[in-house]
Amino acid sequence: MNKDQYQDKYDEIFKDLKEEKMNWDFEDFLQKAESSNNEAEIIPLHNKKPSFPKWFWMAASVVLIFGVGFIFNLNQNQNADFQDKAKLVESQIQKQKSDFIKENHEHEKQVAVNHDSISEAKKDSIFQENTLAEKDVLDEILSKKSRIKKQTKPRYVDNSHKKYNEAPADSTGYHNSYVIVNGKKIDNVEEAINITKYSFQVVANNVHQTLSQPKVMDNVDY
Amino acid sequence: MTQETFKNTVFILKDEMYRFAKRFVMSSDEAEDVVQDLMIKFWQKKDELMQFGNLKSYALKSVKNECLNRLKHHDVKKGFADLQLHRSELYSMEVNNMKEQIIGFINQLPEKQKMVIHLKDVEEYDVSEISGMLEMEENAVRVNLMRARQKVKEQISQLMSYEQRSISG
Repeated sequence: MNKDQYQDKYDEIFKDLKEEKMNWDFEDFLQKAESSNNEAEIIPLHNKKPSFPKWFWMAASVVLIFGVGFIFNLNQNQNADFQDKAKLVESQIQKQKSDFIKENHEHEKQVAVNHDSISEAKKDSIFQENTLAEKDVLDEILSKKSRIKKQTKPRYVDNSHKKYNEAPADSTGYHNSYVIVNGKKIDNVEEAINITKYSFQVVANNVHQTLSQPKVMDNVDY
Repeated sequence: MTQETFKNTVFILKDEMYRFAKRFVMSSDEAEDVVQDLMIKFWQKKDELMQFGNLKSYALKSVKNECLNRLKHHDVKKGFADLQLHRSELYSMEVNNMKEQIIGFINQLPEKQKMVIHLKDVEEYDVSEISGMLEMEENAVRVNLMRARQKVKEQISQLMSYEQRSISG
């Protein structure tokens, strides 16, 4: 079988394909087209006018939500700032209070003294400042005389134990007693004994005139 | 566009559209359905049709797209396996001679080869026209045409040699 036969068969097949036709009149088509036209034109899918308010309200609501959210967020931040500040102040106050207690827990050390100048008084402590603040109010109420009296304010000075501790304490807990001779304080025992002996001698010499013979008092215990 | 104009410019393409649709879809009925749907769409937009330029080219492109859409939809609906079964049943019913077998073979060619061989050897368009319609390079059209023709002729020779053997046997 040669190539011409294949080509003939090929041409024959494509000729048959070419002759295929669709059995459809224009009248039938028109009828169908008209009926489908009537059905098709009923519902418009996109109507621009109603869609505008919908989008408008959606956009407005979104903006509103974001706005409320923003304000709420801002408020939260402000509250947080305020709370932070309040905490800071509270902590500072507590710190100052604890420092103050640490410094002034030994109230025995503090005694009230009077000073004439106000500038010196300010160095001492917080107690004083409080009293000064109170007095500012009192000055307006009190008379001039009273105010002058009030100016003598109580002052606090350090009264620590260091001064007592300057003399070395005896391990037995013994505290020296002292005697006063002619207004002079003597706390040495030896010296006191000598002075006493001397004193007795002086007395003994002075009473020599009245007594036949003075005797040393050996039986005196010190 | 008047009815008469539509009839003379668009409606006369129905046979060509029908033949082209038959290359894609399973049956003649479905091809007719495709053409009818497209004609009605063209009629509804008859006033805008003139702006598309070459109506023949536009109509054939529309046929191709509509057929591919339907095949896609069909695939989704029934699944590929069912489609193959349907196709084989359909062809086993129709294939009773060599001509039907060759047409079935042409329909099973790759899409580009199928379109090119149909437009060239059935509708007798030039290569340049086909390249414009299918948006392909002219060389690509020629290559696809050559391959398609070669395959069809091989198929014809196989079938004819088989027939000869069965007759002689």
